[in-house]
Amino acid sequence: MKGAPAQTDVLIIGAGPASLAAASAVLGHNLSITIVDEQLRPGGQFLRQPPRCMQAHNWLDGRLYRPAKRLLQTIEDHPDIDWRFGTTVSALFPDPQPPGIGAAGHSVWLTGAAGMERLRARTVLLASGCYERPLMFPGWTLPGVMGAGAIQTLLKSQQVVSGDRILLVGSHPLQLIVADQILKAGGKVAGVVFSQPALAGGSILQHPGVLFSHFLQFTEIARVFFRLRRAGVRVIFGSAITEAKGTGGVLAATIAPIDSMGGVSGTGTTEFECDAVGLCYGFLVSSELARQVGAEALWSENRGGWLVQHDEWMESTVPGLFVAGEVTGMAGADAAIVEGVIAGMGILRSLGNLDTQQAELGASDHRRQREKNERFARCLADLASPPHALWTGLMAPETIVCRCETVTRQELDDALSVHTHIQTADALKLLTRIGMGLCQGRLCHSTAAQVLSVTRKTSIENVGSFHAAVPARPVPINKLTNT
Amino acid sequence: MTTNSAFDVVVIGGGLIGCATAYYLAKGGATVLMVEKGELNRQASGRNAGSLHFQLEHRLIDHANGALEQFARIMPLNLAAINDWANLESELGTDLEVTMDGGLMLAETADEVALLERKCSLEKRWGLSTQLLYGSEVQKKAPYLCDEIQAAAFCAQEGHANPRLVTIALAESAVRHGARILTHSRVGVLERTGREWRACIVRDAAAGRDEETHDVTGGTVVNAAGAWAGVVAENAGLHCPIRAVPLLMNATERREPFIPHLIQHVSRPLSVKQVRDGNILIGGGWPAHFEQRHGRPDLESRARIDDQSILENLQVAQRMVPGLASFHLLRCWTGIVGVTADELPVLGEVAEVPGFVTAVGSSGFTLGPTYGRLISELILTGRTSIDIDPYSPARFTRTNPIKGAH
Amino acid sequence: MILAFRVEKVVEQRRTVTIHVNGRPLAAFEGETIAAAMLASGLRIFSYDRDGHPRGAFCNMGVCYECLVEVSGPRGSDKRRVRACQTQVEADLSVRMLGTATARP
Repeated sequence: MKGAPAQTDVLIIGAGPASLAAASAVLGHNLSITIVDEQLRPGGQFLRQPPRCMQAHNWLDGRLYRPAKRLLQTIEDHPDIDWRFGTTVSALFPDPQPPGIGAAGHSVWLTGAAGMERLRARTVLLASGCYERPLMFPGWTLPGVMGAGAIQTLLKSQQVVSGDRILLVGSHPLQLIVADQILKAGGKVAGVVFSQPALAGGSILQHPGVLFSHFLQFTEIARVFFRLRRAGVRVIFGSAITEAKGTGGVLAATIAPIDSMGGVSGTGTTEFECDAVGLCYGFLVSSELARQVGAEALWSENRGGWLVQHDEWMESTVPGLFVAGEVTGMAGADAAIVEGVIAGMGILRSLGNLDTQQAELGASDHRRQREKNERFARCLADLASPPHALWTGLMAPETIVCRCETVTRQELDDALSVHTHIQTADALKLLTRIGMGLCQGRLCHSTAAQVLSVTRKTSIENVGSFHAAVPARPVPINKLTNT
Repeated sequence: MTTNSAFDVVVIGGGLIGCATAYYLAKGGATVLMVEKGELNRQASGRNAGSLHFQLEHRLIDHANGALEQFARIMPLNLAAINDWANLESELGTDLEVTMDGGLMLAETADEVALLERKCSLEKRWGLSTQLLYGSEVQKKAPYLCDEIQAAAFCAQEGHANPRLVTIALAESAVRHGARILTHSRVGVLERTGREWRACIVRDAAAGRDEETHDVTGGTVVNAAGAWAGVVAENAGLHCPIRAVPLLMNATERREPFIPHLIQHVSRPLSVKQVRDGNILIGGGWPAHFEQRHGRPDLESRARIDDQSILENLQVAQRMVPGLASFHLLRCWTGIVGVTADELPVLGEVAEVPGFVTAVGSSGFTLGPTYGRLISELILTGRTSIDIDPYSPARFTRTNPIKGAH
Repeated sequence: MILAFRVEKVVEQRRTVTIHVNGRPLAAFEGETIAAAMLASGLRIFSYDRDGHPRGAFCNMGVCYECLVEVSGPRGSDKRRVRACQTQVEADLSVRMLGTATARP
């Protein structure tokens, strides 16, 4: 362990669009700013950059990337920011004696190649984004079945196409963008399968205001859709994946039509030959660090799970802990940028660099934009989500729910029928080991909670989340002890 | 609760001691109601690290000599617990991951070696045979330990069991013998009327149901509420001097087995073991912090992690078992245990308040099944197979009156 | 079968690095993650689970730990477990897959 911990005025966790926007809002006020990210370059998952030694031609040249790319160009390598790449925030602790003036502070464990460093922060912005929400079905643990986002980031940052023939299945329009990027990179798309019926996209016309304010998003998605059609890619609506087949990895996958109850009967299946499957059924937000320190989080089925609650300055219920971007509810990169600016104003106000009036001035336009973004996000969340019943309806008894600990659906059902007293996700975890593995329940928590809530006929709120424990990511002991 | 509201015994607390008591009572023919305010096994019983330790622990021997003699009065219970654990899986007919392949208590310095020797000779007088190993003998027994260890006391029966399973198995067996279990239910006021106790039970609201209140009666009430035993005793107008202490536990990722023993340290808080799934559990009694509520410790919230506790706990563990260095720390958590001033359990009743039996105390995992068995003997036959007088709540009446609030 | 592949136009000017996966040499390019290098060489299996079933990279962003591998430097030095998707290749890096294709007892 080194001497007294280092200090910073503003600690920003994550280096995606929300963080970059917040940092640019806070720059120029003579505050020390530290940005921490596990990746080696800024951009987040949305702009996941290749390493500097890799030349990527026409990197993310789509129109949807332009605003975030402009922001990235202005702030990457900014000398007034203490950049900590390849670094994980392993834990967040309340700091009873925060450095300098401030009502509350936090200390963090930063771990990286060199070991662990403690850092004290007067304010923290958590902008840790989200990850793919997995849909569980027979064969989903086979090598080759991946998040669509994984296929996309392998392309964006590594220039690797994940398979020879890739099948995309999901409910989120992102899979159209991924299919388009695969084609551009020289790959083949076996098909793009949507759970929604074909006309679902048209229901956006019921929300003309949203259509108008986010016209670019809709036209871009429409352009991509027709480009895929022209390229001969099959786009199928109203179906879901029912099985991935293969032994050492996926070789084929079947889909089947979704019935009126939101389930899949298994008749009328179509089989696709493919060596990779991308799942695109939506996202879960990374709110673990906020929940670790007791910030209030509320469940939202279609906006990303346990969303961190906040006030008009993006400050969570834990004083000094601000949030922006997907952790407040899935809304996309442009919305994250807007929230980042508001959070930046909130931070400047809480540190006394701006008075409330000045901060209001800096935030007011963005607040108006945020309202529009929220309308769009709510609308998209409903349109882009699979039917509720699908989340728990595709598993066979032997289907694995918890990948890390190999806990099957059958084991959960057995535990719940024998142990009738179990009512909470944490109690189910203690009994079955679900969520006790290396991903710390990130991949299985929503499904576990849904299985429990369906079985006990109660709400996800009553079932609760898995406790967000320290450390926030597994960390080698010798990194923590610096030996 | 419409069918029957009169029981021979009402057990308060759905942890290991409560479930063990309910099990042995129901098996012995008593009608039993067990009431738990939350879910079964969710406090210290399910959150401890599952050590089966029969040597005198660091926290007991880290004192002056006179006190050591006093603390050694726990030994008859330790000896009984060795048998209880050896038989528990066959008793309940289920796998509890009970492993009794031995435990080592380590000493690094000459002073620690002397302390270890004194401890072993004391244990010998009480009838526990521990074997002292020196230098290379330690390495031979446990090659995964660091070279700097000068001596170790080996107790062949020590080991571990799985806290996720034990309490639940006892509860299920209790139910099979006719016990009733109410979870999400609190016991409010406890009143003695004639030869019976009347308990007011408040069941939490849940989906489709409001909060419910009803009365039950029991010939005997067992207070097995662990760290909450003081609150339960207060409801009966009694004082039970149990102090709640929040402690830290740590778990690593799963790996191939390489630590067959329970590892403790003679002068540092430490327990290290590898469970059957392959995770290493690291604990030993490092402090956590209570959340504060209205300026008082909040026993209803999870205790807050102390970051320095984690680091020091890991440092001492890694120093003793260098192979732990590259293991990923996976999860840290806290649990709240109830302890007494003299480190001995509180077992039995006081003459002034017949029918109110206390069953709480430290080493609640190792000694829990034994506490439960002895309390059931007391209630069913009026006698116990081991003298529990040294653990009687009456010992506090001189210095700290058990009848307080009346 | 081709499986995953590198986008051709970006490969030409990059330095190659040789790593070893389960003892076999594997050509990779500077800046690649272990996961990308393995996938681009047709290696989809990253580990075997407790029942002996194969697992592959799933999230490629450090969340799922399905690509956890044991790596070491020359002559077995600095042995550690890392996420293949978060760790860049280096010359002479040895990668060992975790788990076996047989079920736990």
